[in-house]
Amino acid sequence: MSLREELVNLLDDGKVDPELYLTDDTPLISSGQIDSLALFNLALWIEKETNAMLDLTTLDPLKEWDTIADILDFVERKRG
Amino acid sequence: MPKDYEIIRYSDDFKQEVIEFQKHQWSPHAELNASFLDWKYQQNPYLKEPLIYLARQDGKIVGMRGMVGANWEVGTPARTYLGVCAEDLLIDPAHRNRGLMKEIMRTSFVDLATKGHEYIYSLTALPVTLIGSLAMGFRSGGSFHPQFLYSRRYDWFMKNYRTIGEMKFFWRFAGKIAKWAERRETLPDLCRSHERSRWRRNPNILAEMTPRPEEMDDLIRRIRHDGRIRHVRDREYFSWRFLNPMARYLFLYWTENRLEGYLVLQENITELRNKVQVSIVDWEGTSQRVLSDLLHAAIELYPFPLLIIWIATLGEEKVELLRKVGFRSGTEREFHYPPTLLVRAVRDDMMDTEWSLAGRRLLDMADWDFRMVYSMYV
Repeated sequence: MSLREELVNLLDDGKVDPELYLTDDTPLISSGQIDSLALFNLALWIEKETNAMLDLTTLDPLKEWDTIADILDFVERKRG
Repeated sequence: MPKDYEIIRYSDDFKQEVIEFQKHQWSPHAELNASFLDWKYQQNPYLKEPLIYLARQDGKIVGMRGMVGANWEVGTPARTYLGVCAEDLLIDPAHRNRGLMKEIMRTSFVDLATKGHEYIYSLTALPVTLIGSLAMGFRSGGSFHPQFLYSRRYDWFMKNYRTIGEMKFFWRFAGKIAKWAERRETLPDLCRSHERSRWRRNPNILAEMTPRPEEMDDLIRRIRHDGRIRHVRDREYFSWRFLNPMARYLFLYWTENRLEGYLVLQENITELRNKVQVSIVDWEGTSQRVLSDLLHAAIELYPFPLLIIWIATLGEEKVELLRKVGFRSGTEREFHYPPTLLVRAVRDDMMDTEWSLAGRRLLDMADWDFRMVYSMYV
């Protein structure tokens, strides 16, 4: 399973509207589609994929994780 | 706004419903929850009326967030500000992942801005709320750096509990072994035995179950304030803060003619909070000797399974005393994310400015003087 597929599966489990089809540009946080528990699970997933703890003092999920494209980009940068 | 929800301000009409709703988080006991609500929100000396925001659907509470007031002081000479801390976030499990937290917080930001507040603080966020808060525009000022002191028994148990649970014969006794490792005397029992003991090492130290607000206030005034942001710990604060019905406190006082130092231990009394842990929530003294005596008296009271203190802003001398008696940093076994300072500007137009009080930066831990007692959830 690709990284994107894994991410979409994770987000599908936690999204507000089960009917919503997630594209790479669907706003997730700014639209309220994912809530605190789903965000926490996303944080754990990102830590697993990057093999590093998040630095909470610089983290801005709204700017850095608002879409699937943003999240994948964040993971790639952290793996850098 | 998610469908069919309304966000409203708390009034006494909702008291009984909040008490029941908070059985998910505060305690399963309605009477205790009623006392806690009354103490924390009605008797809070800093806010005239409770600042609680409720999400309702079909006439039923499904979400809540409370704001607790406290006076903060900063600078030399000190200026005082009224600050509010976000507390008691709870969303009914059946209504999670529907954007309710966001809606409750948005409503609270607008309301707080109209009341003249500039910033909102969070000192209690657990991991799930922490990431959610960052997504709501809160920023982290860093960890409070909790330090832990374990009894040998509890340390052994924590290192081995997984193994015990997987062992062929011993797994049956895992629960009993856990109880053995976590067993401790309560603070009231320890207070009585300390005062009965004829072999107390230090005759200057007294143990009591109640605060001495006037003397503690006087002591804080005598100890120099370096201007960092801190709670105003005065008679009013001490008189209110330790009436928290969800916890018990033991006060160690170092006296010689007058109060020269104190150390406050806290234990939780409800099933929904960590009852093993005992916390040093406040610790002050006029000299290193007094501070050291108080710390030794605290750890000699009993081999607490787990004793905790936050050290992020304590200063090197106190930290050194803690290290000498065996306190050390936590690991992931204690928490995934450590307790963290969160701050947010209430108004969106302030999001890109530097957040500060009297020139002290709110996101720089070096500008703060934190004690666990500031947090309502330790």
